[in-house]
Amino acid sequence: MSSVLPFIVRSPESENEAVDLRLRRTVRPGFWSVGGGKGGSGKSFLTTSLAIGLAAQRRTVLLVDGDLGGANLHTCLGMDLPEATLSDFWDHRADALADLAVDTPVPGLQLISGARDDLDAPQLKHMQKLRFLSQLRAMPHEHILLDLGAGSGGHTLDFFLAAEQHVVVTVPEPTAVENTYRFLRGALYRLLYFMTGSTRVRGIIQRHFNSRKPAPENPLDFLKDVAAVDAALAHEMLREIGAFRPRLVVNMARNEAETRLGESMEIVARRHLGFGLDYVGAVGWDLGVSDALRARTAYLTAHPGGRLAHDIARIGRQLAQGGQLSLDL
Amino acid sequence: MLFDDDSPTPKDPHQVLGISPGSSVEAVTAAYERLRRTYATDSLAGYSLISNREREDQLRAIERAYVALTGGERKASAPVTSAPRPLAAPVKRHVFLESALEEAEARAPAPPRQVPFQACDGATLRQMRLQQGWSVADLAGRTKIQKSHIEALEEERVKRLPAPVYLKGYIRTLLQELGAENPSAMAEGYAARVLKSAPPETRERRWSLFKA
Repeated sequence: MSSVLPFIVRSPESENEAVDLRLRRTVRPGFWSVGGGKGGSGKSFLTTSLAIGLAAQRRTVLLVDGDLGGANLHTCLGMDLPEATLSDFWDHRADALADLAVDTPVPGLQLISGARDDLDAPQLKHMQKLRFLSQLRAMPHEHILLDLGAGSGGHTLDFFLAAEQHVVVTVPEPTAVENTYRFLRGALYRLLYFMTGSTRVRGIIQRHFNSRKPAPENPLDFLKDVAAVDAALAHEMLREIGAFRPRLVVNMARNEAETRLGESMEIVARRHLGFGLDYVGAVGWDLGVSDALRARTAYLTAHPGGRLAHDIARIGRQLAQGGQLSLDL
Repeated sequence: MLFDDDSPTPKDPHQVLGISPGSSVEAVTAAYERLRRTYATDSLAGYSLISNREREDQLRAIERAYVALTGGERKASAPVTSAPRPLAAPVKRHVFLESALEEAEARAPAPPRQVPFQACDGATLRQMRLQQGWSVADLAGRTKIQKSHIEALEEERVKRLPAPVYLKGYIRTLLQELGAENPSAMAEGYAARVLKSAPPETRERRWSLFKA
């Protein structure tokens, strides 16, 4: 487990941080985020494929490249980098997110491309993130798919949490599994941390997060310490943890045993981390994915009836059901 | 809820298996098998969160819970197999419960089981490994099975093979990693092949090593 939470760094804006970035007062169905810690696990591939699948069902879809350091969704779609990107939004050269959405080769699918590489990754202020997320939720599309970069950095976790449904992608490799747990644990603790302004409670959460190993029997034991300070808050946190149900996808599964990894990770998350994880399916391994990238077409555009298309449709159906949207993928 | 549960380890077998009381035998078995896969030595799912010791503790608890919930029924249909399993035996390095079960079954004269069987030999193992483009060291790294064991298995060097209690487990793990369709049946096939060829005294000596 990583020993330092990114948000522990004291900054002058920390007083504002208690504003809930998730903007939960309004429900935004169809807003999904896709993250998962490890690079190369196929987040962008999955997000793009889900977006194409949804668009094929005549849904309007907005695909957003939330990878601050290595944006490349345009490449997954076989496009050139659009003129205006999220960089312009962060730099205040563009005020309206809607101006950044461009059409893609797929009918019904629009893209907001990610940040161009700066010498310095953007230092986002809390208010900038708030502006971004509130404008994003107000976009007219039926579906918003937010693809996130690798790593468990603060901005990435915030964007991950901001969606209605949170999807994590892993591959059957130890490094990916480790990063997935780290990512999810980081997201959950960040959420709890910002539920309160109390330095004492924040201290408890921080201490517990930094402990090298979560308690195996009852990973939520630290809530007792919170309850000693503020019982109502502890129960509210318990409710939030209960509501935190990220969806898990196992990508590049080569055989049946590897597809079962998701089932086992559900069990481990519940027992050892204390939250529910919903395994929504595996995507097989297919050389066609990298072939399609090299040919500069989206995999699903090149192989609409391919083996992986079924896997992706099944996952899309599961996700849509979880969000109470009737959908016939 | 969280605050009501002060017991450090849940003792109720239903709780251990994560099922509600009154679940059917099928549900119990399914939960048991899911958990066993989750905590198996070759499982990736606990990586970075669960220590080897915890893994073994969990496997023991799962096994105990399963026996507690289904033991009675086994007794009714097949009294021989419900002999007490050596669960309290100290767990040695690399032992997974599967092996302990096999050991127990081997000690008690079990009724003939309907085990799916598929022929498999050392040459097949090697060929499958080479098809993946892996060296013995690669495969050892992936499965955490010693290189010397893998070499012995591929060359069918009877004297250097891992003890029979581990043999099938190792083969199954290797075959799974190599992407075999039916690792269990092939492990049976391999075990039947090499154990038959081992002289009885070798077998007996190796058994006794692990009985102490």
